[in-house]
Amino acid sequence: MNGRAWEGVRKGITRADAGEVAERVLELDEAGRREVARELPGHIGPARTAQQRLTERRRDWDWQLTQAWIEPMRVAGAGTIGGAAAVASWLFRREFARWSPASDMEPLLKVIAARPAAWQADLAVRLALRLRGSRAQASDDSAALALELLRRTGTVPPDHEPLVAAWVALPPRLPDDPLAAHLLPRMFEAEGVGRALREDRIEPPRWEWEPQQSWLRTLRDLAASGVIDREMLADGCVRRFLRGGNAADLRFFVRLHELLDPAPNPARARDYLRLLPAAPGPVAEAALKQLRGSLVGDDAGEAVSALLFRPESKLVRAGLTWLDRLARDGDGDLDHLAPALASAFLCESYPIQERTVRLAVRHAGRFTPVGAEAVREAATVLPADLLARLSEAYGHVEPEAGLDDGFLPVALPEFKPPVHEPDPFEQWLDKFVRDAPAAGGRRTGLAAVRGAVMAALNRPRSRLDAERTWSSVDLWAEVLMREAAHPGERAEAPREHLPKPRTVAAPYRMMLERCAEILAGLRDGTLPPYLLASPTTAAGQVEAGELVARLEGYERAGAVALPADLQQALLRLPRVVPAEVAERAGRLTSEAGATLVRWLADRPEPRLRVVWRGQRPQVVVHLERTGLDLVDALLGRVASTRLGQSMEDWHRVLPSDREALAMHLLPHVHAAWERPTNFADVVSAMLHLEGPAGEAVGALLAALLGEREWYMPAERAERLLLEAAATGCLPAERCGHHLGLTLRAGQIKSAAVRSSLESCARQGAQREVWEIMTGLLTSYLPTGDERGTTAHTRILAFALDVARWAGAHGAVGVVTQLAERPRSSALVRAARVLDDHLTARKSRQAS
Amino acid sequence: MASAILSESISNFTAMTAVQAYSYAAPSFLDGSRLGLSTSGGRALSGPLPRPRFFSGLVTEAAPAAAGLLALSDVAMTRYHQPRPGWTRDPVVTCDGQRLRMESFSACGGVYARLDLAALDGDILDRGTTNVDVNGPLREALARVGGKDPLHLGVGADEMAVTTLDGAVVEKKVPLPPRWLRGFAEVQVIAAGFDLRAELTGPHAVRFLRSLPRAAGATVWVSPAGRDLRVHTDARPGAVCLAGAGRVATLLPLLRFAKALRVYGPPAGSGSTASVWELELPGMRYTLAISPAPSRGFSGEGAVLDHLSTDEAAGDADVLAPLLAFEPAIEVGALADASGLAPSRVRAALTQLGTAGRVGYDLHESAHFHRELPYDRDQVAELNPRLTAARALASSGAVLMTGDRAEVTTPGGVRIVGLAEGSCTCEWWFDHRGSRGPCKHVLAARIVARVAVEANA
Repeated sequence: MNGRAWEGVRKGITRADAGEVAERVLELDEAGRREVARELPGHIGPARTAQQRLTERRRDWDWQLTQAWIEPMRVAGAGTIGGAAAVASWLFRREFARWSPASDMEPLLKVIAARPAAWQADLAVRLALRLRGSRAQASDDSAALALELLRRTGTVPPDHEPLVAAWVALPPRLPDDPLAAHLLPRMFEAEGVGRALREDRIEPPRWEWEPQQSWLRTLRDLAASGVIDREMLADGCVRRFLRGGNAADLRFFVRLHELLDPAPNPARARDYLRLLPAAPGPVAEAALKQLRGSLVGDDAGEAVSALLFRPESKLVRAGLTWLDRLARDGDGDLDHLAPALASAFLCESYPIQERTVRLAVRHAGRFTPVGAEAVREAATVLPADLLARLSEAYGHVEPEAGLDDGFLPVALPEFKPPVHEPDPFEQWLDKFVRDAPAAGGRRTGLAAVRGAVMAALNRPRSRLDAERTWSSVDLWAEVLMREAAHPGERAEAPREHLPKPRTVAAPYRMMLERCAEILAGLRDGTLPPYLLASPTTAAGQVEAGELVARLEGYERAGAVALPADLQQALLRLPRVVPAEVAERAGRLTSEAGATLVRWLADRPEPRLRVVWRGQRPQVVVHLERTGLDLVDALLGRVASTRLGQSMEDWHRVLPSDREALAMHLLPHVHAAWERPTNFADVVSAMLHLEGPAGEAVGALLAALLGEREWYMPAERAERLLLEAAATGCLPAERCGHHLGLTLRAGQIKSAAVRSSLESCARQGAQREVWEIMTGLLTSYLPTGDERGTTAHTRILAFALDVARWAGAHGAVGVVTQLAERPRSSALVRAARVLDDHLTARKSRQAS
Repeated sequence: MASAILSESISNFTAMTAVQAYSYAAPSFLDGSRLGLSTSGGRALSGPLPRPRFFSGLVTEAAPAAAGLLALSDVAMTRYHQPRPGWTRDPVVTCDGQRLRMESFSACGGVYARLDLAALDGDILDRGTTNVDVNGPLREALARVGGKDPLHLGVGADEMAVTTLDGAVVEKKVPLPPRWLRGFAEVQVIAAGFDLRAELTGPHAVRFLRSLPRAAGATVWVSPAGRDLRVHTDARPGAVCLAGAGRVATLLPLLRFAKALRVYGPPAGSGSTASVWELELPGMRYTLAISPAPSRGFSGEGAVLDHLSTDEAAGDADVLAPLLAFEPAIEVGALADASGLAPSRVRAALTQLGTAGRVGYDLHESAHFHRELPYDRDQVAELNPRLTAARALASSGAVLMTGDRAEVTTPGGVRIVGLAEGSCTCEWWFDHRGSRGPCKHVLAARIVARVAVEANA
């Protein structure tokens, strides 16, 4: 037999046929089994490799086939390895982990069935105790195998909680399951059962493809037919409730308890009573259902106390009804119920609070002074109108110093305008234009500035040849340097290499256009002696007097202004120009001079609106045509695409048009993944520019305020808002308006907005925040048939705080409308309180 | 047989993990009004005992005590992060002659709970620490304890009770992962750095805890506002972080007894930090420590490592250990006098003792208390992987001192350690920047630096 035993089994494994392996193994004698057991561990690698090769040779790739060697190996081991412990380890070796268990367990069970009975029982217990309820075990056959072996061998299942959880995780086989006698009572004790049966329903959901037998229905039917003792199940549920757990894990037992509908049992009454105060809501409800009307004396008082302390309105309401009945039925004092009554004041629901107050007032005479004092003490948490009502019966109650929310008005933090380094691009352009022609090409003056560009110059092949359009300033700098060093090296017209207007952000296009016109001027010999747009102030503006002087110099030298350069110079003019400078400008004779005069007389001002299309704010802009193409593009058009090249430099292009810059930045707010990481610095720089701040600035700040990302933490967005407030450029009402619409679009969380606004208010911006709130309430609060939510109620409560901090008065239309709604709700009450505060009216609810 | 197979399968399952074997004379029970807590292992004044007896007498506030014990057991049974059933480690009880301190630590290692039970009227039989059995039937019975029922408590049942209770000896074996044990110890060291940040009366505590977000994983920050606590959704100066609002769920069933809620936190936390929540109940206090994030247990926070790496502290701890006698509170001054060590060295040594599970910290009293975790004492310090790795680096000669810097050679390249600021050029340091204590390279450099100083001296 030497070697032949193994050979037969090995062939079966190679054919991936577990049934055949089982047959071979069952034919073996003791020596043959020992031989196979000896060979198996060494065969794991070869079996896997062989199967892998086999699968690869097939045309139709079947991933399950790659693991087909596993089950035959397990069968071979289960039938031949000596000890039960070794077999238990063998069956669940790490190498045998599969995507899904084998469809047929029979070969495995067959070889195990051939082993001695005691051995089988030992294996069954060992496999059962291996169960852990882990995720890996949920997808292998360990639970099914352990349970099946326990059943077939008739072994008493070990006391092991994961085994019970595994038993209920499979469809019930009651009432014939031999394990039921042992495991059914344990199902109410073992951890993990409730979790496994969370989704068990009496009727399978309609979408279920193959509805599985439901534990709930099985147990209900068997209890109804008397096969299983209903009392045992009901007791089990109650014991399970007492052991605790969260609502989801107890859901199955609550459902089962309800289906069993146990008859009132005095032995369980005490248990139900003790479940009332702290069990999860559904459990407490089930307990209440059993207790109603059955308790008297101290027990009834205890039940009422427990119910009135619950957070769930439904249970508190039941407690109030019960309390009322106790009060009517008895005639002694109610002092023992005073703490319970007091705890119902803590319920968040206003109708419950109101009902509690009504009850307290009705039975006011039944409390001794001591009891009444307990009620009075607790009443401070009530809203003002209810407190007033209670005070009539119990004497004046000082409302809680709820106003003390630690608000201390402080001054706004100071923000210094950012210190800008001189713009290297402008410096370089200026020096280039001044030096390039004079140097006659390649010498002296340029050496100082070319530095980095020289490296590019010395490269044999430049990107200039590789790319048709030169879409970065670097490339243009290189071509300018090359032209200066080797005049006429390249023949093509510069404009051919400019990117199409729609493919580049408007502010960046201005920079490229200026490079292109300088290159053209250099070639044609029409380069002016210097540039008009080189900034003269640290903020990047060109003083008007200096520009006039530069144009005067042009006229003397007979130079003609470069168009883009002139437009950039105009855009960099401050908004206020001294009269004498304007007068000097009037004496200019050139065409550029005339353009300047027109600009000074009538600076183009875009009229912006931000409208919401779907989930996004979009800018609609109107500008009277100026005839200056780049100015028209910068002030009169907003790119539909999100082109953000060199965003950090945009403020230098538009140093006097804050709103226009905000308009160009706004589309980028909603494309966070494309924004530069220092977007907040870009916005901060914008805040310190000149020019009006309107819709676009407001919408921009609003969008950033609710963002909660690592690249825009709350404090950074709040600082931007404070910075806008401190620099006097916060269009607060508009910002609030867009904040409300952003909230409506569901893009930000109202808690985040409240938290950020509160933080700003506490840092000195309380008045600005109130203005924001007026805009926010108007666009955010529900109107017409819209439903209010708790988020609306909370924002109204917050608005009341802000109004108080800011000392604000004067009705807000939308709040008044809400306050005048006939039906009372938490939202309407909050609106009334705010409206009363703003219009300095005595509480309308109290009246 | 089953028990033997089970322990075999545990050791298969957790090859690297120590196993805690509990052995109780009988299961803990609550029979009518008699609550018997069975004890297993631990240490009393007289030395190690298999089943110490600490207390026999009345609990004067039965209902809150029963609810508190249930809350404690809930924490021990729960994995707050990625919940699933698993091993439960029994609560640890310390008797200091005045009260019973019962502690438990969640399976995920992120929540620590302690019930300081002072409402006792009876005989203190001994002082010390032990494990007590908590089982399903006991939980059921505890849930049945009502308002006015009296409760007779015995910690460590007397022989009579054991024999009358036909209970067989209870043997339980659970794995004791190093991570879990380290967390249990480190939470004491972390809490020792906290201050009281807010205090609420009972009704306000109820309102506040009910106002927390329902989502168990939600992280909020709370700051005092008048007599209430305000909930914020983002970090702000002066606010205390509560990471995973669902992790304070065990406070809720106790609220009906609550007289006050106190909140403790680190002095200046940024981002997500740990916090401690303490409920004042009649005759007892229930304290919860919550780790900085549900996915982050207390171990690995590294708070202990700053002190731990000095051999001086280890030596001092050996000096102090015999002076601790399960006193209700450890006075640093008194210990300094008794040991002749400077108070700063006493504190460092207490930290060392804390990591070895030998002292706990009571925030309410701002004092350490003596408690010998009834587990293998050497395990905590030995199994601290960062410190072990650092010692290995130091002893393998991988550290080269160059003035105020050190070069630590690792398979991943040379790391430059700044000794003064405790910085490093490794990825781990880049990620955490000291928020989780020093990295192994810094620790190794410090160990070597001390050796060098000693050699020069």
